[in-house]
Amino acid sequence: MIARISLTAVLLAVVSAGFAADEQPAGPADLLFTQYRILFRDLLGRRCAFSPSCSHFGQQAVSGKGPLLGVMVALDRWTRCNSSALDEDDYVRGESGLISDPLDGFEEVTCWGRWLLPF
Amino acid sequence: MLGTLAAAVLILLQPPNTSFADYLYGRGEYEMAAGEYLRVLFQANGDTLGLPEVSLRLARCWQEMGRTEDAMEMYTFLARGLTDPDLSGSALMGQASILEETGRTALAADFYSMAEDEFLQPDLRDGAGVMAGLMEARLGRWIPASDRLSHISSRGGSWSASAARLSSVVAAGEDLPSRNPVLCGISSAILPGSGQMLCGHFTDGIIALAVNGAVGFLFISSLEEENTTTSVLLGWLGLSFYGGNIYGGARAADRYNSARRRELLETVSSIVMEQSSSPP
Repeated sequence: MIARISLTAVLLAVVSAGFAADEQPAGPADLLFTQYRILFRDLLGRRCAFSPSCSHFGQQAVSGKGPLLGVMVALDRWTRCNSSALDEDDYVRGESGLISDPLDGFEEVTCWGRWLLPF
Repeated sequence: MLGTLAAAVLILLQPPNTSFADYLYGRGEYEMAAGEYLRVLFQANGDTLGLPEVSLRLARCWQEMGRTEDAMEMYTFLARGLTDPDLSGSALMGQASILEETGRTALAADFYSMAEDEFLQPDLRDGAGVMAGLMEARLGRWIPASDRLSHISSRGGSWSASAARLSSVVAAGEDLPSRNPVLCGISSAILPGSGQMLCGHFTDGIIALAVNGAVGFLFISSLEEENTTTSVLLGWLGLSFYGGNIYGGARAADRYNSARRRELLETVSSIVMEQSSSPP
């Protein structure tokens, strides 16, 4: 009985922390990803080489592209998240040293115009 | 009495002192420099066209501060109002740089071309021409861009050597290795992971193949065991992995093409930076 009450209390605390962690109103998918981050990433430490991390990427994919396509896109990222990604030339490293892989668009365009302004 | 009057007139006719603002501008303290330039303009009764260098630098400060709309408005006003070709050309360059930064590359190319036509000073004209050529290169028109840069190189002047180097680098864009996203996607649909492998991502391809194979095997096993709930779950998961693998194959090709373009544009960046930091 005590174990059940304790477990319920812990779950309630985790769920409320999930709601509190998100600034915007959370949907079921958002809550799921937040729970994952609280339970696994924060406890085990960050292991993802990408920025945004796979869980943030998945969350953005599901909320932006819908549950069907979003899950596919998130799973594609999940299969790419391995140590070989660090050696790939096709990825761009961000300032933090993590691989920059946003959901939409990955080409970082350098603008030259400011360098040549004559004033 | 007359002496005092003459002194007052002299003070009023003196050009505004912008040395402190220029010092801040030179140090990259754009927010403070903008404040100083605004103060100078305020003292000149807001005569932006009367103090074009101050106004141009104020617009540049806003641009650096991220106040893009304000900067664009000021550049546009100056480009229309200034009569000196080199100053109005500078304002056009400012407009073009904002268009470039906001991703409107084709429009930026037009504005750089307009600036090139406007400038009287050969170095400024060539700089604008080079930028117009580079915008064409960014749009994937490698050969016209290379021809344009080659033409600028043939004019002589301080841009000659850099334009020649840029011309040869940009011409190489025509032969950049590329992968077709549609073909890579189809390839991944036929054999999971093969599209990724075609783009050189062997580990990703092997993982995609293994995961799709494993989920597929489990799905078939659950069907044989007539376990409906597991079959539905694994079927959904398997389809999601399979779809993700096709999407990943196509995206790997996009990423491959983008990386080759980026490598070329990084060489362009280094040449432009070298030229912009060298004295005229």
